[in-house]
Amino acid sequence: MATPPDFTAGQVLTAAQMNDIGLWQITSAVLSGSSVSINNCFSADFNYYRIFARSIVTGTADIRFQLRAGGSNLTSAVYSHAAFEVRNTGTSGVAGFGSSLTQAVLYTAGSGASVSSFVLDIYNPFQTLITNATGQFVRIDPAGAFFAYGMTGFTFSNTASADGFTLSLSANSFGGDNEVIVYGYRD
Amino acid sequence: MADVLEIFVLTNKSVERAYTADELAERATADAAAAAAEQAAADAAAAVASGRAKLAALGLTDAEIAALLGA
Repeated sequence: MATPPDFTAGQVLTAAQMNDIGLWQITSAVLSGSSVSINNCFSADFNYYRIFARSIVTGTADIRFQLRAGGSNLTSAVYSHAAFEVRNTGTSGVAGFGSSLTQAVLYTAGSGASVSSFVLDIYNPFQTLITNATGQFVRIDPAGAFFAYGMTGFTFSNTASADGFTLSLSANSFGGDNEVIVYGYRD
Repeated sequence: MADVLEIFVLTNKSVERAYTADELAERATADAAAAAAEQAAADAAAAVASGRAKLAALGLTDAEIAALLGA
């Protein structure tokens, strides 16, 4: 019998086989406009989530993140965020930090045709626990010689349950051959 | 192009719309915070440059200033 992830057409999958799937795709989307909100991607089904976003072109802009509940962004508590970036030109180091009641800043995307991608792991957004997130990002200029790799993270200092999130830009619009996918971790 | 793409996972539907008043207010607050952070960073960089200049005026070499400041 084929075992995950090698399935055969018409095969009946057992609960054990399905329960072996560790990362479950919840939804995917192409980012557009200057803000994208995804509702009900967090639920009691999973405690931990991964947001995967690739090939985002925005021009110079902060990539902002907000938790969401019931169709509105959560602004009831402080988002504390920090990022660190290593660059092949310019100054490597702290790439931003701060606290805000409105959003966390994941990182600052580059100008022009610069492309960035990131992954963000979110811990306990739906549970009534403090929500943390850790992630990594890269941003490059395909036409030039710029490359940067960074780490980012935030804490939302409230135990409110979130059922979704908003990704938004401080300026410009999402473009490029981008895609965002939300996965749930089976634990 | 609409400002906001909103996706509803439970119904597998999406809408494109303008910002709500609440979202515009959030953006304004976030923009103000970002501007303040940028100004603070610029002020800190200016203070470092000013300090370096004053140390140089006292006769310290670039190597000595770098050794003092760690960079």
